[in-house]
Amino acid sequence: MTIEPSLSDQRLSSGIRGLDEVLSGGFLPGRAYLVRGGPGSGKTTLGMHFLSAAAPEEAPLFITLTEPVPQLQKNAERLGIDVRHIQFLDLSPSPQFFTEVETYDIFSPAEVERAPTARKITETVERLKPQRVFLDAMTQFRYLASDAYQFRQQVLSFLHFLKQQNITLLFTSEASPETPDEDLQFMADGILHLYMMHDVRFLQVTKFRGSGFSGGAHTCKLGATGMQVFPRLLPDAMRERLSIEMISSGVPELDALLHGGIERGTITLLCGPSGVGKTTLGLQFMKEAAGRGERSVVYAFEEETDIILARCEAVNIPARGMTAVGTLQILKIEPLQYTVDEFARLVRRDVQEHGTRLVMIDSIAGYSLSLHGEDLDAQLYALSKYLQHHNVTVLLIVESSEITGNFRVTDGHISYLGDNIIFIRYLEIRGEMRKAIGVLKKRLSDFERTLREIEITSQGIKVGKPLSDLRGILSGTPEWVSERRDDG
Amino acid sequence: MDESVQPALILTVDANQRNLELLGQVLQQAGYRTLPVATLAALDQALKAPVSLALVDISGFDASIWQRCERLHERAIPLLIISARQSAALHQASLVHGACGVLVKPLVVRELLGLIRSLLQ
Repeated sequence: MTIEPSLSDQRLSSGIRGLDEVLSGGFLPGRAYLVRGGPGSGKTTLGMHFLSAAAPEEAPLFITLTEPVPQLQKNAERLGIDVRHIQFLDLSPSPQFFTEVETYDIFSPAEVERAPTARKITETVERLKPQRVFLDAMTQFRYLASDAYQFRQQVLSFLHFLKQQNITLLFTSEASPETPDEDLQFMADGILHLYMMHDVRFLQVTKFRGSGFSGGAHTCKLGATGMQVFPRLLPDAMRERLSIEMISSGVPELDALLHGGIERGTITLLCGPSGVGKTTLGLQFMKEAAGRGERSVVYAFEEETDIILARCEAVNIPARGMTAVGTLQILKIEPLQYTVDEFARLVRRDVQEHGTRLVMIDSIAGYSLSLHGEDLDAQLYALSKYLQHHNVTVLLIVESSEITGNFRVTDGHISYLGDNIIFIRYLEIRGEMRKAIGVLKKRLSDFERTLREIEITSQGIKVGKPLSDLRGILSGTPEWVSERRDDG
Repeated sequence: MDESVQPALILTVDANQRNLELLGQVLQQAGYRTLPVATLAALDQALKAPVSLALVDISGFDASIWQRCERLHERAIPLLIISARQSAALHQASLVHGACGVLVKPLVVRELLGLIRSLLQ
């Protein structure tokens, strides 16, 4: 993980790794940040992470105006967040408020409660000298102010009070259309929005004074271990390097078709109808890479790992052996298991941690169907570009819907993604079903313009001589150039 | 605030204990002594006490509260009625039964203290 150092290098970790990445390293000390979101969006959980990431000498302080402390502690424990060194200041209403005669109407709450509440907070802060404070929820002070102006003044003065002591504050707001929290947004040094859309949770930063941050909506998860944030992948601004290193397929005729192989760090689309052997072709490149000691990963959206392994073994690709020595990993991605950002993070981490050189996504259709999120094509583009910038070779499996007949590369608009486009298709030659492989595009080198016959046998992939005496190949019912046959 | 030797004693009437407490706190902080009562019976007991001013929150009392107000008025004790709502009829009734004025809840502490100060002068 690389985090760009900013001018003021000291950062406070949010306690959530992905969020630190979004914030270019973490929160800036001595600032006040607003965490806003609807009920159940994870505001309090985020605050817990922030406090638990503090060292004990930082004396993290949790000021609660809504939830009682025992309940907060229990919830944190359930999420496995260590709250033992966190100090709590409980300003939530006691049960007696309801059962005993604690209600009053002779003065407004602003007149009665504001002074004692403010006194309790200042006393606690001065006594504990915390460096991190989480306040849940700031909007509660609205009821202690006689009007909007008073509220604003009180919040501002409270923020200044904490700033003087160089305290980093996270505070939440409970906003609704009736009581918007725009005023708080203006006052905060940074704003984190938590929201939910189509069953997917998002985190978005819209303001972060004094530092850069990753924009856009990042998916996040609230699970058994608290909150996880998956930063959206933006292709980094690295220059594209032109690689001239060729990756051989290990099949001489196929390499001849590709004028040497495919270049490292390029994106290759492997297209063809169902069952034609696209996945096997991709694995052939991986077999060769394993021979060089390079690691490859297949993200299988459609088939089970065991089926792919068994099929490889049947065509002389020692996938089990490669898996055992770590040069191959086949990862089955279950439908709706990940959001698109989570998946991107998974791929990226694998590349960073294991130095993977070849990545195959099988298939693009499965990718679009299985992942939660929006803008899947753009995200796939971003992920592929990221991999390319890290000199990882990408193989994308594209299934075309027609078995024979007029040829189309892809159904979507993804052909622009590929540096190389290789296709396999069925041919009918003299009433017999055969398969041909060809190259449609190769950005970095020339390639053979003719098709070759391809066969997948128990000895492996067999590619024949160029089919130069056939014409009408793209129609699916080619004719021999020498002997005219009846039109099909 | 009265600067004489003995701080003024203020009779506070409120059926809500918490209200009575808060009112007492505010007045004591301002330097007054208070005589809090929460029921009609206690109010009857307190009618002869040497109070300089009476604050009567009529919420929770029935019409018989007016009779006590008249008694206070007969003793020339300044009387302020506290009500939960603004109402012309109530205002009228309060003045008829001897009140100097009607305050509507929630009260503003600063205004209340200013009013008491001017009534005690």
